[in-house]
Formats: sequence, structure tokens, C-alpha cells
Amino acid sequence: MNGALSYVAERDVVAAEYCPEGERRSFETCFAELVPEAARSILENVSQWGLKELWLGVAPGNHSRWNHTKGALTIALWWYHHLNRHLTSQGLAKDCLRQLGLKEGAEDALRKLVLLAVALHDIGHLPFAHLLGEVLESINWVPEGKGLSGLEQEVLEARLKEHFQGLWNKLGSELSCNPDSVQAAVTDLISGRHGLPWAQAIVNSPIDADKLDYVQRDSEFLRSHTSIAGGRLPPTGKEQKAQWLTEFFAEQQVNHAGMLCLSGRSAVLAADLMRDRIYLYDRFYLSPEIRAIERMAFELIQQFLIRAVMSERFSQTATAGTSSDHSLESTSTLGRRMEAEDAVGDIRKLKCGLVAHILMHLASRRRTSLMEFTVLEHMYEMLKNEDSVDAGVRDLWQQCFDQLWRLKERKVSISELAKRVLVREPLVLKRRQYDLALEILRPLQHVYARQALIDLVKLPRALGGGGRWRGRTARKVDEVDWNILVPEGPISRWGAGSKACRPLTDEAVRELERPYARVLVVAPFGSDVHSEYIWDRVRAALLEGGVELVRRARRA
Amino acid sequence: MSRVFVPWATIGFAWRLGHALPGHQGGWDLPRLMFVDWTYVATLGLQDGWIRRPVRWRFPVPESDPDSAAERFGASQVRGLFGGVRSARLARLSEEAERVIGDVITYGLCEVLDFLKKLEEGDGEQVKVDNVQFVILGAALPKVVGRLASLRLDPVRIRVAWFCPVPIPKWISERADEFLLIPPEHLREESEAGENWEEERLVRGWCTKRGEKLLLVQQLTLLGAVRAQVGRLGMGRSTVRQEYASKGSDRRRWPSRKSLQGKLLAAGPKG
Repeated sequence: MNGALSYVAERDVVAAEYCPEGERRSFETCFAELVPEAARSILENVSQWGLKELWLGVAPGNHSRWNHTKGALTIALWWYHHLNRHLTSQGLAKDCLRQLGLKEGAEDALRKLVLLAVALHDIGHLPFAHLLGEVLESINWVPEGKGLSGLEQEVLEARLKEHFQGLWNKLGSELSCNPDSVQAAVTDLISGRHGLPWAQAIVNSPIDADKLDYVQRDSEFLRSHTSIAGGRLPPTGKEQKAQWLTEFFAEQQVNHAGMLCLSGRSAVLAADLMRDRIYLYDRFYLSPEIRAIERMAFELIQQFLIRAVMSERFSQTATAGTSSDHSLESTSTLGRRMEAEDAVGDIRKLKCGLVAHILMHLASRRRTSLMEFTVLEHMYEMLKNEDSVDAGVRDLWQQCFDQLWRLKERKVSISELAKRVLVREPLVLKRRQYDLALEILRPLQHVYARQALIDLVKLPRALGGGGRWRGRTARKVDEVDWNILVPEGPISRWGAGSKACRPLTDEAVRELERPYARVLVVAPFGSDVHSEYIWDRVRAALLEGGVELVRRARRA
Repeated sequence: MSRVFVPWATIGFAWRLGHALPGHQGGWDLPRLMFVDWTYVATLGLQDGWIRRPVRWRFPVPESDPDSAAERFGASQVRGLFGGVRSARLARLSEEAERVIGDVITYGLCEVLDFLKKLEEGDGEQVKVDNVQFVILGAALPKVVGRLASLRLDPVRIRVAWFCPVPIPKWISERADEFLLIPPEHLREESEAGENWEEERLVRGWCTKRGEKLLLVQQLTLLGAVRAQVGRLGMGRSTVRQEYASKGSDRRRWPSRKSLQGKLLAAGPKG
């Protein structure tokens, strides 16, 4: 690959290699053939960051899950092309097919399977993206996940079954296997549980095509629209992307066991990617400014969903006059399902299904790029009419929504608003004490629900991504990604000439870790003496409960 | 349009936890399928009321291994409905059961509030329910308290209390123990709620003698800003005097029992 080629031209060259001889097609044509229309209709109106674009004062526009999917697929197509060429040259391609129980000549179907998994990797997302998952996790409404978060997994499986049956039948006949097995293979690839290591590395791993695209895409968006996250973001622009990817693929190989081996420059760039990702989480996605704003939206969403699931009247009013395009718990309420004769209900699963149903209802009649905010607005409208709610809490909700609306209308900037609502500095604790802190803070939040919102968030591990094995040594538990081999030693020692020889582990990337959690106190009415008292109570409760704070609080 | 003023609605809620495996003797081999039976009785002031058809919610007990239980444990406090939390397996079982009981009670409470709202919005006859007393048979389990507190209910209009005989009866759970389930300060014997009120306690409780037996009373102090004194016990006829003192604001006194009865008589159906 020539790095001097533009990004668009490069991906077209790759796409053309998969076309019938003599036919030259653009990537867009290739993409349209591969990805079903249903995926477009699901992902087009879901913004990449949920509501964060609006908090920056920018309409999401092209920054949608759909465009991200196209970007990730471009990278996956290119990556697959590189690895497949290597497999063929080494005579390993047949072994791969044999490993999966596929017949010779099924290379094209295998390629489709892997690329389809990349194309559908975000299909489990509902409006508000990861914020919704957090909302449900905080009230323990999420069934245990199998790689992905529980909610995402539920929605993914339901949608793959409902919208893409024709596709599974077609691929099943191409691969001479049961359509259900094809669907299960795609689900496993998306969840990070598939048995073909190099394909799994492309679809869901600490350095997968999804992360390669979103780190670059989000960095580009941030550079264009805000000064948040500063100048340490990775290079953007089509030329640089092509150059970066060319270098990243250059020293990648697949070994006899099908593991992806990252040596030399490829390993260094993989480390860069993981570093950039953690940086983005630390300084943007989970930064105190963004979290302070998101916490206000979080409260409205959570309160709406609790009522919508528990109260039949509220649910009927909330979804009146809408239609839905899915089958998740479409007809029953929680009570009716649980009361059904002989029913044994996993209540968490039922609640998750109801949440998905309600949100899809609400999203279905709001097909605009501002869909998520209009859904939030509807949630608030419903909540403010609830007369069983404490008047002080209703005032707080109104204040939350007013602040968010002003932000969206650009009447105030995110830094101004964050400065106004954030109470003192964040309290930082060790990530391993997150659960303990959550237990301590929960009753405090109930007590001070009229005055302030308490936020607790933990920074992600450097080895993000799907299913991994957990290894226990005498001193600690380490996670191991057996799909990827990296050079010996910590990442700072990886460099030119270093050969891939050991699996990627927590230990290898320890230098990148930010093993912390942060507690924020958010006062929608503005930081004042009362909210500072609550901050003091939060700090005292954490210390009394045995939580070790990383930094000492500054004196006021 | 006639208007019926109902000064209070009282809801008595009862639940029972059990294992759904026939022949299970309640030994240390833990059941894999459990159920909660629940029902409630509601009265509107001194008028008629209704009894909800009792129902059973079945739920599977999750697979448990010490590692995963240790990771998930801690979302909120588990007191140990099944004999303590020292065993990860028992903790997990308690956690799951408490959550389901929390869901049952939250769902029941929402159902009652929905029904009252429907009454209030009904055609022809307008009913105004001034306040709702929700009385639950059993002890206040932390996860149930959390679930109810999450509803952010108006503590002046909707009050929640638990009544539980001491020692704890078997229907709560075979291995339940008051020293595990109930905070020690709630087991103090007092004739009525004392003034030793702490700012950040979601539930306050005390014991009272009913004949020869002790009765535990626990009350949800929603949003921590309400001082409540339950003066007399008894479903459907309880009298509540409340002083609402939220840090100097919204100070409000509630009418006495006599004036409530007077209001009710005066507000009867009018032609």
C-alpha cells in the first residue's frame, strides 16, 4: 500500500480487489451491497456520542453511528485484505477454514461474515448510547452480559434475529451451514467470544476496527469544534490516516494458531492507539465537565425509565401514539409478564426488554439528527406532570432540563455551565474501590436528591474490548487477550525489531492505565454553601467507609 | 360534578418469600427457583376499600461462583436474608431475593398510585385523596428501601412504613435473623418514635410492645427532610401527625385526627 494515496482512493483500491474481474466499483457501492438497509435505518439517527455533541454546542450532523460504522468497515476491509494476503502466502488460509469447519473455497463467505460483524457491531445501541447502559447499571436492571454490556447484548441479539434473517439464510447457503449458526457466529464476533483469533482481533479486541475508527473520528470532531482534550490527540486527515494504517498493518502477521502477531512498528502503533483511547476517556468522554452535564441528563432518563417500567399508566401515556419496529416485550407490562401462569421471569431481562421497547417507540417518531434531545425533552415533559413526586425534586428536574436546553441552544458554553454546577473539585479514588464507593454514595444521593446529584464514574481499562481470559497469580488477577501476541516486556520497550512472542496482558500495558474513579457533586441550582456541605458529607462518608482518596482535597 | 374528599388512603402490603421446588426442606442446599407471593388491602379514608388479587412472581436464582459474586457484590448493602453475607453464595441469593422483593413492592406501590390517579381523574365523581399511607408487613430491607427511595415520592403526601413482629416470622425467610436484618438501634423498645433523628438515615425505626409481643416499626424518611411521628398503629385507622421541617423552609402542620374526621364528614358526597 502506498501511504501517499488518499484515504478514499486507498479504500477504493481495496474494494475493487473484491469485485469481479474487470469491474471497478467504489467503496460506497461495495458497502451498500454488504450492509443491509435495515442497519442504516437503525443507526442513521443515533449520534455517535449520544448527547455529547449538543453539549459542545454542535449538531451531531455527520457524527453519527452510521458514519462511524462506515469508517470502521473501511478499516476492517483494508485490514482483512492485508491479513488474508498474508494467510494465503503462508498457506494458512485453508487451516483457518478447517478450524471453523468450513469447506475449501468458502473464503469469500468468511470475509463477508467478518465484515458483516464489523458493519453490525453497533446495532445493539439504543438512543443515548453508553449513557443509557450506565443509567440501567446504576439501578441493577441489566442482565449479566456476555462480553458486551447486558442491555447492548439483549438488543443486539433481538435485532439480529428480527431484521437480518434473509441475510443469515443467504450466508448459510453459501457456507453450507445452518442460518442460526451464521447468526451465532456474527453475534460471537461482535461480543468478543469467537474462536478465530485474528478475525476476533479485527471485530472486537483492544485494538479493533471500531476503536481505530472512533479514536480518529472523535479526535477529528474534537479538534474542529472544541479546545477540550488539548493538542495530544492523534493525527487526523485522510492522508495521515492512510499513512497510519499502512504502518499499523506493515508488521502484522497471523501465526499457525491463528493469533494476530504485532511486531515492531505495528506493536508501537497499537500501544499508541490504546494510549490515545485512554486519553480520550480521561480528558473528554469522562472528563468532569462532560460528566457534570451528563449527570443531569442521566437523572431525567433514569427517573423516566423507572416510572415507565413500574407504572402502567405512565408507560401508556409516555408511548401513546407511537409505533415500533421490533418485537422486544411489545405487548406486556412487567406485572402482566410476571403474573402469567407458570412464568419464571428473569426480572432484569424483562425490565431491560421493556426499556428497549419504550425507547425504540420514542425514537421511532423522532427521526431527526436531534432525536436524542427530543426524546429527552419528552421524558422531562412526562416527569414534570407527575404529582406523586416531591416538589423539591421536581424543581431540581426542571433546573436540570433548563440548563441542558440552554446548552443546546448555545446560550451558555459547556465550560461556563460546568463551572457553575460543579461543586469544588472531583474526589479521586482507586478504581478497585468503585463498588464500595457506590454502596456508600447511594443512600446519600437519596437523602440529598432535592439539592444535588452525585456522580461516580470509573475510567476504563487499557485492554478494552470483548471476552478475555482471567489469569490468577499469587498476587493478582490479570486479564489476558489470547487473540493478540505482542513483544516481550512493557509497552515502553516495544520498538523497531521487537518480535511478537507473548499474549497481550494487563501487565504489559500497565503503564497506560489510569486506575481511578471520580466522584463529582453536581448542583444544578449552582454551587453554593449547601452544595459544598453536601460535598463535605460525601467526602466524609467515603473516608468513614474506608475509601482511600487519591488526592487530598484542596482547602477552600 | 360531586367531589369526594378522602383525607387518607391506607394500603396494607403483605409478601411472602419461598422456594418453588416441591420437597425442598430448606436445608443448606440452596433452591434454584424462588417466588414472592404478594397482595395488598386498600381503604379510602373511612369508606370502602379493595383487596388485590394475590399473585406469585417466580424468579430463577442465579448461578453463583465466588469470583463473580465478589465482583458484583456491593451495589448496595445486603443484610443477608438467607443467614448472613459471609458466604458469597448466600450473599448472592439474598441480593437477588431482596431486589425482587424491592421490585414487587415498587410495582405494587405504583399500581396503587395509578389507581388513585384514575379515581381522581374519573368522570362524574371527582375524588381527591389527600395522602397515602403505605404499610408493609415485614422488615425494611436495604434494597427495598433503595428502590422506594428512587421513586422520589412526595414525603408529605405519601408515607411508607414497615411493621414486623419480633422475632422475625418464618415467611420472611427461613434463616432470617433480626440481628442480621435489622439495625440494632431499631430494636430499642420505645412507646413511640423518639426524637433521636439523624439527618442522613433513610429509615428510622423502634420497637413497641403489643400485648406480650414486640412489634418493630420502621419508617421511610424520604429525602431525609421529614420528621414523622407515627402516633397510633392499625391499618385503615392510623392517625398521623407530621411536622414538616425541611431546613427552615416549607414548614407545615398537619391537622389533628379530630379535624380530619370532621373534614371527612363535611366532605361527604353532595347532591
